[in-house]
This record gives sequence, C-alpha cells and structure tokens, in this order.
Amino acid sequence: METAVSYGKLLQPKSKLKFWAKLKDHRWLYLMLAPAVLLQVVFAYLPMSKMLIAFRNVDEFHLPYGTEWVGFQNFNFLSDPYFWETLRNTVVIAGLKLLICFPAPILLALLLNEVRHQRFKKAIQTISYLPHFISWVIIANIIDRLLNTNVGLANGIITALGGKAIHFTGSTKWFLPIVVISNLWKEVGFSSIVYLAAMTQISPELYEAAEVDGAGRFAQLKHVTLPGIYPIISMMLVLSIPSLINAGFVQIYLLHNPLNQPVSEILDIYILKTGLSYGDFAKAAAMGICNSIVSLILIIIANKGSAKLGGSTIW
Amino acid sequence: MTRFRFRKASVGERLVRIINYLMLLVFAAAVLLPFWYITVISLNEGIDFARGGVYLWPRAFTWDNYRAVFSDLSILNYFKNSMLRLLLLTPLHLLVTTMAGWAISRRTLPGRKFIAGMFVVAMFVNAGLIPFYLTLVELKLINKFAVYVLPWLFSCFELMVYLVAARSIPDSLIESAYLDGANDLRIYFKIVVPLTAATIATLGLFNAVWAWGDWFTGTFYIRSHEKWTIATYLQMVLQRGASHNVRSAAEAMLAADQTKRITINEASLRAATLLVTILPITLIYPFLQKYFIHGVMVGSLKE
Repeated sequence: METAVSYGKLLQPKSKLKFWAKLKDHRWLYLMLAPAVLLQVVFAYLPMSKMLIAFRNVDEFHLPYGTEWVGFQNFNFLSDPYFWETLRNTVVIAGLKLLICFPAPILLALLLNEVRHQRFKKAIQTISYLPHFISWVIIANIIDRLLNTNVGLANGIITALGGKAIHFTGSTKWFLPIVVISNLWKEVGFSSIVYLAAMTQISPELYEAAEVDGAGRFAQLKHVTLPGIYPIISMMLVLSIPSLINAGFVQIYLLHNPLNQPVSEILDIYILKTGLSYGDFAKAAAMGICNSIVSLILIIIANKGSAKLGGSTIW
Repeated sequence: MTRFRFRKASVGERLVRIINYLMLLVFAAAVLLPFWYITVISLNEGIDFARGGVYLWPRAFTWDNYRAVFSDLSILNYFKNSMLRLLLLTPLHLLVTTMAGWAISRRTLPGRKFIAGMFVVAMFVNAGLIPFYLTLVELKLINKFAVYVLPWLFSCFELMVYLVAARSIPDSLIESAYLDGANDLRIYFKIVVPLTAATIATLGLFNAVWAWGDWFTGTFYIRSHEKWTIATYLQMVLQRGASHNVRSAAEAMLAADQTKRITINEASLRAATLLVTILPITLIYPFLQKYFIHGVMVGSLKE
C-alpha cells in the first residue's frame, strides 16, 4: 500500500504487524493532530447538525430548536422578491469587481515591470501594499470622512471646481463606484505581487529574440509578457469564481446603510439580519443552506475549470 | 529584471516611459492621499474642522486629539483587548495549524488521508452563520473572551500552505533524528520549526493582521462593551457615531488640565484613533515584505 519511501520502516519495532502498535508508534503525531481535529469537529462539523433547524418551526419561545418538523416551509423565501433583489445585488457587485478589480493588478504589474529604476519600483510597490494591511473597518471610516457631504475632501474638490456637493454615502447611485474603487485601492497593490513574480520568470532571451525580430515595447508586451503570464492569469481567474457568491461581505457590510440598502444589501447581509437581528433563525438557516449549496457548486465549477486550463487544482 | 537593448530608445518610447513613471507616481499618491487626509484631520482642532475647508494641511494645529485618545480609558481598554487577543490567538493558532500540518505531511501515518479529507471538506462545506452562532451559544462562548480565540485556532488553508514547506524538509534529516532517538514532538520543535520559520512567520503575519482587524466577532458574539476590541469599537463608531466617547475623552482631558478649552469633536477624535490603530502595522509591514511576498508565492503555486 505505502509505495512512497517509508522512512520509518527500518526503525519500526517488531510489533509493526499489529495495528495498535502502529498507532502507538505515531502517538506523538496523533497528539499533534488532536487540537486541530477537535477544533474542526466542534466548530465546523457540529454546526452542520444545526442546519436542520431550517426544517423546523422555530419561534422566539422555542429557541433554538423549535417545536416540530415543517419540511420546506422555511424555504418560502424563494418566492419573496426581496430575496431575489439581494441576490441580484450580490451578483452585480461581484460581477463588477471581477470586471474591474481583476484586470487592474495585471495592468499595475505591467506598468511596474517596465520600470528600470529599481529603487523607484520598490518604493511604489511598498506604498501600494499598505492598504491591504489596513482592515476594512479603518478604510470604511476613512471613506466616511473623505466623502462627507459637508467637510469631506471629495466634496471640497467638487465645490472648488464649481459643482454641487454630492451626498455620496447615502446615495444608491454612488454605492457601486465607491465599492469598486475602494476595493481597487485596497487590493490592487498586493494582488499585483503574483503577476509581477510571474513576469520575472519570463526568460530574457524571449525578449531579446523579440527585439531582434523588430518588436517595439507594445509588441513585446503583447507577444512575450502577456502569453508568459497567461497560466497565472487563468489560475487566478478560476480561483476568484468562488468569491462570486460572497461579493466581499466585510466591505459591503461596513459601507451599507439604510439609505443605500436597495443596492447594498447582499445575500450575506440579508441572512445576517434575518437571523441575528430579526431572530428568524430557521429562515436564516434555510437561506444559509441555499448559499452554501451555490458556493459549493461554484467551487466545483472553478476546480473543473482550473483542471481544464492546466492550472493547479484544489484536490 | 533587465532587458538587453540593441538600440537606444526612440523618442516615442522615451515618452511612453515618462508617462509610465508619471502614472505610477499618481497611483502612489492616490494610495497615500486618504491616509494623509486622516492625519491632517487628527492634527487639527475638531471644532475648527467642523467648519469645513481643512483638506491638505492642518489649519488649527493641535495635539489634543491624540491626548484625548491616550487619556480616554475606554479606548485604551479596547486597545488592551485587541492586544490580548493578538498575543493569545496568533501563537496558539500557529502552533495548532503547523503541528497538524507537519503530522499530515508524514506519509506513514495511518488514517492520514481520512483526516486530511476531513479538513478539506470543512473548508468547502460551510454550515452557515446561524448554525455557527447557535453552536457558540451551546458552548457558552457568547460574551466570553474565549470566543475571540477558540473558534479561530485552526485554518485549513494555512495548513495546506504549511504542507508545502513541511514537505521541503529532506526525509534523511528526519530519519537521522529518529536514529538519534528523538520522538515526533521533539523533531517538530527542534528541527521542523526552525527550518520552516519563514513560512511560519508569514502565516503568523497574516493571522495577526486578520485578528487585529476582525470586528465581526466582537460585534455579534460579544455583548458587553468592555470586551470590545478596537476593531469592533471603530465599527460601532462608524455605524452609530459613538459620541459618548467624545464626552468621556473630553472629561478625561479636563480632569488632567482644568484650564484647557475643549477642541476635540467626534470627527477629529475618530481620526486620531484611526491613526493610532494603523500606526503599528504601517511601521512594520515594509520590513516584512520578504515574508508576505514569499507567502503569496507559496500560496499561489500550491503543489
């Protein structure tokens, strides 16, 4: 069975034929695994049993397990138009992020790759990583300040240029741009690391050959750089599919308020509110089940897609 | 990365290069601008700021906002909670995750595939928020400080990253350790940890950054305000505009010096709090670039 080099084979005691003795040999390894396994059972697998409350009748007097089995009654949110609105919001935000925030780090990497002056390149890179390490709570607060209707910098510039102050934080029109731009600002620097690293792997000989063939900078970009990082791009693209159903919960939650709710309430927030704020645990659990199923499907699709493209797979 | 040039750059190419540098400069400035703005607000009198017009340079310079931050005991309490959480969670998290990672990497371990499968499945099948919350209720973890630590001690994704590093240790080294009579635990602490220190440092960095910024746990799993972390406090301020903190900060300052007039308001106090919160990581991360770049590479290259 074990065809790989079993380093311990030479050193196992004569009782190696006995199953329990084998376990005893590895007792320290099992000890080392024990905390992790215990934690997984308690915090990942135990909650799964609680998913069943989605099929029960739960009200505030019979928390948390409810009184009786009611089948799919709690799943009637599927006919509720508001549920589909939140789903639409989720997909729109996730789609926009994919469309804009996915190519941006590649562009930044391309720009940085052209820089010869190493110190300058390093400095720009270091600065660009900073927002990644600042949590969304901080950034949301900063955005709140910047876009403040009366004293914020953004409106200061707008009024100085002769425009009228815009109520950014409460408007449904500006929510999407704010989300996309702030996500860009936070992640574009850090995300470009992967692409830059891939670009450095491209052999300089390819560039030389292209030069000899008369390729200018753009042509080199098109024919050497981009094809060279194509595997990484496709891998990152596939890896970002599972986040479609998520749409960046933390960021959206911090930026959403009752005023922009029609466009900002994504599915995760709706589940959160239904469960922890309104106390309708069963319905929230039911929605959570739907959510988990969809994200599992997306992950399977992503994995198959990655395998097809020749990238690495998760299993 | 240098590229061999057979000819001098044409005028067009030089122009493109200048535009390239300019764009990057503008980008860097755009990244820094919000932070600079908050710095300006924090160094400006709150009352003056409320009048508007303070943008790129403090108009009424003052250290009062920072004095308020450090003299307001409730804010210091939140900092203490965040630090406590960090000091408890990150080392234990690293221990649990890397120990398990090392054990899983040992191919002779019976049941290894089953346990590894258990970890992977848990990564993808998420029971959902409500079941998780109900589990916490049942475990009596709600509103206890342990809820900041216990559920977050293990990460399957980090285990997989660590696996790559663990596998890079040559088997012969481990064999000779066995010959010398060492058991697995000893081998882990004396050999594996020092050899994989870079990966461990990277994982620790990411975990620390997450733990410092996690506001969700404190907001939804904790009821008493004294147990908030600084992240939860900032989130509450953002959502509700916690003006009672301005009053307590003002009172603390007045108590220290009766003659001062109060210049702070909610905006400037918040700005100063923000800056104090991000200052540690801002000063540290440039020196840790080597680690997180290494982490990104390992994480994306997988097997």
